[in-house]
Amino acid sequence: MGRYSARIVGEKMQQAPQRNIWDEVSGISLPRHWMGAWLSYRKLASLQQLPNSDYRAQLAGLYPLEYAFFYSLTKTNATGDQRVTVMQDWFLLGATIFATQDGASALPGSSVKAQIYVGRYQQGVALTDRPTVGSDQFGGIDRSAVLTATKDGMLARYLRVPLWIPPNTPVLIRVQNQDTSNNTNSIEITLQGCGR
Amino acid sequence: MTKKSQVLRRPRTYVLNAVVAAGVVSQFPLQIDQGSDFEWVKRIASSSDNTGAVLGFRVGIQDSASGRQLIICNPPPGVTIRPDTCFAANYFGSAKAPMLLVQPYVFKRGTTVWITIDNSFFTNTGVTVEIVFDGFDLVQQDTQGRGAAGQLVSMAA
Repeated sequence: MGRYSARIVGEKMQQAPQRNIWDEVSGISLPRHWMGAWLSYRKLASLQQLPNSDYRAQLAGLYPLEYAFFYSLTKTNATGDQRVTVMQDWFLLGATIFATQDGASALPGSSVKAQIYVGRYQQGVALTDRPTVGSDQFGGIDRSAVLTATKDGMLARYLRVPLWIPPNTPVLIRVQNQDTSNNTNSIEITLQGCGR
Repeated sequence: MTKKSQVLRRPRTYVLNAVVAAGVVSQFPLQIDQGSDFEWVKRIASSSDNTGAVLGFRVGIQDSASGRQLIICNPPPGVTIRPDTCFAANYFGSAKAPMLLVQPYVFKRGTTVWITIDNSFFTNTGVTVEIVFDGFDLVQQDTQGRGAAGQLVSMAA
């Protein structure tokens, strides 16, 4: 029977109750709440930054997979490249950054510039068309807030629409150190996503 | 005719407490209960450290049911960090502002989640870590309260 099929009961046609596919269990398939991670009937400001339920529904069955890109740069304007090849279907959902030279009162990623290249998109460039300050394109733990005990915690940058990255696609992030102290800046960019 | 059972979500947190000495990489098991699968929704952690960094350790997570590493990292040459880990500051949030999984992940009941804590990057102090997996137990509506009967299988009427 189809999802919206009707059946005859006596002389009346009774509409089968509409199923909520996320609240049912069939075999070993897993249910999924229509609001996904949020599970709240209140409208939240953060919800506006997230993929809507249609997009999230397409992620069902995938598992969380993060790609971390690590750099250790000392001199001002020194650059580093890190590259991975995504071997399976993978969806980019968000990004965070942590750099040891960001300073206690600065936003995460403020001591670096970065540019993300994704093969197969627009001549190999996606997300940014030029090197951009890390705090303008990544989220992260806001150290200034944490150290002043207001503890905002994780404020990640989420993509409103997940970016599908097909198998065998190289992802390269070039980072330039903007810190002028000549202390080693240990930088890590983590791309949050989910894959098969 | 097959009766479809509804699944209830019961709020649940799994917590790992660990103490890792300076310069040490340790692996800790987190056991998922036999009673029900666990849906992981929020990533939360806190730690004691005096490095000035927030969450001054690196973390790696492996789901033993599938053998998958949930973090992939290939350190550049000359950098002594453990592969397939990332800074905890890039992975966890707080209860107030947690790191959310846009797509929640389900750990199968009875399995073990292996958590690697690498305290070799900020080597000047040991670290006390608390990692919280916040989410829901997935239990069938018509079997809740029956102990270990909350497995996710279709049931004949």
